[in-house]
Amino acid sequence: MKLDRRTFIKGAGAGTATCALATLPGSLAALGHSELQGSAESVASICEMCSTRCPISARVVNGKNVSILGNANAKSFGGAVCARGGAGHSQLYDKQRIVKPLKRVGERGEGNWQEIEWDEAYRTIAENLNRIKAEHGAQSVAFSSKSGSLSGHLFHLAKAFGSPNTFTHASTCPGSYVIAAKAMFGGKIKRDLSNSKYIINFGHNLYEGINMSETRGMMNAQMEKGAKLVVFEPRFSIVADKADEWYAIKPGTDVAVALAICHVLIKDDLYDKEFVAQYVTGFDEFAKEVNAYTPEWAESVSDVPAEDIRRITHEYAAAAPHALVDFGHRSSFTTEEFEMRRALYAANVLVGNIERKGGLYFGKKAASYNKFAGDKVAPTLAKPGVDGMPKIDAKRIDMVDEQYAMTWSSGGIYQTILDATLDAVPYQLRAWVMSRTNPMQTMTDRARIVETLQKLDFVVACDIYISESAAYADIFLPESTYLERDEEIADKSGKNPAYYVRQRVVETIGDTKPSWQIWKELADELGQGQFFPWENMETLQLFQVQRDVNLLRRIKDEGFVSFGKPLMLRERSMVSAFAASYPNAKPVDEDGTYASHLSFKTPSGKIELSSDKVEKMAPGRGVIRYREVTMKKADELFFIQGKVAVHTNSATQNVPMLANLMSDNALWIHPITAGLLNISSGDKIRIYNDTGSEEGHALVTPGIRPDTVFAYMGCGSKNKELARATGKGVHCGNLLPHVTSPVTGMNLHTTGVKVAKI
Amino acid sequence: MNNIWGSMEQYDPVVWNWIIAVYLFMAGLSAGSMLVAIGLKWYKQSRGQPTEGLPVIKAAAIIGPVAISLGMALLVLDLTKPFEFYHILLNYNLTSVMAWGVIALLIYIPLVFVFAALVFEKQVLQYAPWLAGILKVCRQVENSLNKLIFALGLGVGVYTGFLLSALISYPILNTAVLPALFLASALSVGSAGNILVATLFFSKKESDCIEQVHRIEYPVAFNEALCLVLLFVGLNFSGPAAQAATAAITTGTWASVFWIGVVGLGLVVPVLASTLAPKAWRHTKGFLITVSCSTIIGVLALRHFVVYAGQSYIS
Amino acid sequence: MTKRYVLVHDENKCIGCQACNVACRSENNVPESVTRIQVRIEGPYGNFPHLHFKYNRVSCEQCENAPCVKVCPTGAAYVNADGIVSINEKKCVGCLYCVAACPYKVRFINPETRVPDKCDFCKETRLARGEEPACVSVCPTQALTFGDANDLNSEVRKVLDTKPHYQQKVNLGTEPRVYRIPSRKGGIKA
Repeated sequence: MKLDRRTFIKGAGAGTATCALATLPGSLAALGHSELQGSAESVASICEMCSTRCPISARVVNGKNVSILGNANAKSFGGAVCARGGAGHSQLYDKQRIVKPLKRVGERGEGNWQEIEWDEAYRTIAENLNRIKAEHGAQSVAFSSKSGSLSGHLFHLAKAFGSPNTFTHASTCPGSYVIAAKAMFGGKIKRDLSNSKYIINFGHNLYEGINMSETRGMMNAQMEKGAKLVVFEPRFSIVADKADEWYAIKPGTDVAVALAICHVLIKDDLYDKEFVAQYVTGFDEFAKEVNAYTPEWAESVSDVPAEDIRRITHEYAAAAPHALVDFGHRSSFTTEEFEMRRALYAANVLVGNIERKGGLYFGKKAASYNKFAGDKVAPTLAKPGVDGMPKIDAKRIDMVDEQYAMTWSSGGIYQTILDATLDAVPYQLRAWVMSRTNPMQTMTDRARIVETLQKLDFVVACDIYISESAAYADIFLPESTYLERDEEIADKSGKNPAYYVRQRVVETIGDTKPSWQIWKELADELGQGQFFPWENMETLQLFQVQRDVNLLRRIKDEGFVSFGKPLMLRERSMVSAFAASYPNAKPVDEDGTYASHLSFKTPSGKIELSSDKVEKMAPGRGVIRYREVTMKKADELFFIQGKVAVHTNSATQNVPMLANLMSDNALWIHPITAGLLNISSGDKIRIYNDTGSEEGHALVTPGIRPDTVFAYMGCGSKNKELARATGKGVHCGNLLPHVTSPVTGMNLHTTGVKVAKI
Repeated sequence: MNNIWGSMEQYDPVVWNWIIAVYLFMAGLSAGSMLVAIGLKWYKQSRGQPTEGLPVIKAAAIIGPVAISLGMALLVLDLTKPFEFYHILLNYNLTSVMAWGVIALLIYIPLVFVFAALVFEKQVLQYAPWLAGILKVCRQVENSLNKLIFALGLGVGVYTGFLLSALISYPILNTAVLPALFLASALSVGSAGNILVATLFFSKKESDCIEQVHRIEYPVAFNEALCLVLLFVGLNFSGPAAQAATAAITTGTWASVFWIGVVGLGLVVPVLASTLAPKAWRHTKGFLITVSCSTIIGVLALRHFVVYAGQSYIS
Repeated sequence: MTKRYVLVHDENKCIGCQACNVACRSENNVPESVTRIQVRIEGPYGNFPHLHFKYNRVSCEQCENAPCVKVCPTGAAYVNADGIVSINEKKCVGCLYCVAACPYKVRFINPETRVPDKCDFCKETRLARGEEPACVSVCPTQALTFGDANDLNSEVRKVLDTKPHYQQKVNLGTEPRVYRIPSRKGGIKA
């Protein structure tokens, strides 16, 4: 019998509240809820509900609610936030949030906790880490963290402690496009979606994995400026829906289509020869290699019709240079990530869209921008350095193979923590300090992670909730949410320099602390206090602005401050406007641009379409090449994942407001496949392979290839502390095998599964 | 696409539940019993026959006030703010069918009590002799009162139908047939109720007035059936959404309720019983009780069917 | 001249991200178990690979000829001078007639006040402060345009004058003040 309206009214509000673990030690529920205290006037800050970190503007409403909107001063963000961002306050005063340090009292992972004071927490951690350091060396402790200010402080502690083993989540999510850019351009590159007239997208899910300025930019280009969007993606995502053309490409074969696009550009003489001659090295080797990658060949690999590849390439070239091939974000589609991302970049390089409107460009930070202007248009920020930091001789655990050299300074290969712990490769890890990271969801092979966490001598987790990973900690440190934290000024430069800053909006709830303070206080306890000479965040901020109080006040008041006007070195109109504004600006080239100043931080100083450096690191990979990979058995279905607009991949599933929007992920399955398996929408199903087995329910939809199934990531937590998320949906990490891709060190997130009705 | 927009429970098109169905039933029962009793009275008077102490009129004097009081109690309890129901007596929005219903009921209810008091004058005066004066005045205008009650009874009967037919997005409800259907079924449940109560409590012997009441059941049932046919035939010709709503009588639980309860118990059983049953049975207590119970359940089923199935199909 | 507030939802720009759903909840303190707005992503419709989703904003349509106002026995439901369908909580007894009468099923009982609740274009909160409704301000892709349609120079007037649009269930004669710009893919499904 369905709830009728009356019982519904009576039961209203009971839904998720009653199932909360009212007794979970250290939770807001256990410690009582105080009135929110904070600014009723809007405070500019930075969101942290996902890793995009959009500028926000927040204020406390009637002492019981925080209204969060985008910061209107950040023009390209347009005062908007997504659902995740808007729900920040729901996390802030969630009764299940942990606001008191905890120590484990039963078996690890069993879920028995006891509240302790910070002193005891620090003392316990310091005793254990110092003991392990004395017995096995500092390198046997691994540190991993969400990046930004958080990782800055934790990794500083790691250095002070003497361990080289610091990791971000890069190798489980966005690592490979960064690594590929390093190899080709010498550093990260950005995309100018908002000015693009033709955008080719390989499953970059910008309309669900929202990056506010890019999402807005692309929609604006599409709807107001008539840009054409072509999407290659196995799933009919929102981006695919908004595309002018969608091709349900076979998972992991994007590289074939990208290479075929390059093939057509070269074969049909559509590429920008002048650009290539001036800025590119390794073109001939590349051209020779792609000679074989005809659209017909690509069709046989990817199921994308050859004539469409050819036509799209011609349309793309016609729109160039104000056209781009999006190089993506989450990049764990195939073990050939390095080749795939490089092939995507190559398709941009060939049309010469670098530093052109609607193409790719480099961020213009203050130092380089000021050089062009011949004037101090934008202030530069000082970086605090600490004298006498200990020298670390030990090698990182992911330094076994030279081919991964480019990852070491980009977050490392996160999953090597498992190998080092379980197999002592290259040496034995003994402890893990993790902060705001949830590898149990995003890293592959969950069972192996559990094994790792069980085997370690000591595990510390700093988080807001007892995440699936934090559930295995010995000591749990409750971090303040971003709405309660002050942090350093951050660089947000795009086509011109910009800064923004995170500021507290509400007074700290419960007994939580910001990361910078936690790691500083722990350093004191570890006996490394001298490496944290700053008193507080204000000291650090003042140091950054070199005591320019007015600048600091301005950045804090406006929240987002941009300097100068947008500059793309090869865009004539921008360069002439720039040169006209600054009398001491560098002289403009004959063609009216700064094209002669465009250089790349590669060994050759050029874009390395083929690279000797890479060839040395990873023999055979100097030239971009297609290699066939097998990611599933013949009788299995491809299993792919993606991000949904209301959650991140691992951190928001327990936030009440977001859990109320979606707490369960269905497995998308094509009607033909579902028919063969006798599955209907809503049916309970088992999804299984050699790695693991999950139960979930089916969503039968034509929006997926018949040989592929899909689920949104982040659901199906298995620890009892996440009461709203636990046991709901498919746990993707439990089905993904432990595979590391060459060069990029990426964790592979495409695999094969079988599906059966239960 | 996964549902990422949250619970859809609040969008359930079925807003009104069984409480409203029972209220509509009670209002129909009260109005129907009054109409039948007053009609009978006039019939007898026109033939110069006595009307005092007729079991059917006594029954109506019980059913009329009790049913409407129970119905109103249910209605008030179903409000989300039952203790503030007096606002509905103070504020009237005359575009609302419900406001007109409130006005009608405000007059109807006291008059039904007066009707009952006049029927049971002796008993009333036994317990409340101080009412003698008022009852005397009432008795003097009894004929006018009866005319007024009759008119209000008709009003209440059709009002319950109009209440639902004003809901423009439900094809089954938003039809002019509904008030007629509800009036017809009010008459049928009114007569059945009267017969049941009369047979159980007031009839010492076989009484011809029961037989007379019994005789109107046949045309009433015919009218009710006609209304149902018109309703669904009409739906079938009123565009795709309305056409889809005809599924209400072919699929799901409510189709069973319709065929077994509304058609079976409410129409077929009484009609067959009064045409096919051996003469010897027709005036036995058991027969009368069985048949009138069948009709009552049928009408109760009709109200539930209309309320639930009616709200389940939205255009 | 009186105001005539209207809202235009561009289904081409809408990505169904629920930013509006969340922002509305925070701004108007909407209790957890109910919602004033949701954008349903319906489909995909069409034939593979020519599929499309429909982005269906579900919130009060602010009908010119509002069935909820018509049926309310006490006049608690009324249309304000600015065209916003409003609720006088004091007069309401909670008969649910308006909830049943709403063809769009966007009225619900607020479990805290026990009175029908729904989108009011943030009349009490943001409009009162001279701001646009929360959903409009927060929308990542600028899919919503809000304003006074009686102002011939308003943005919303321009959008309505220049872009094809439709309203839902016009056959019922409700004359909704929420307009929708249909997706350029697929047909209009009102």
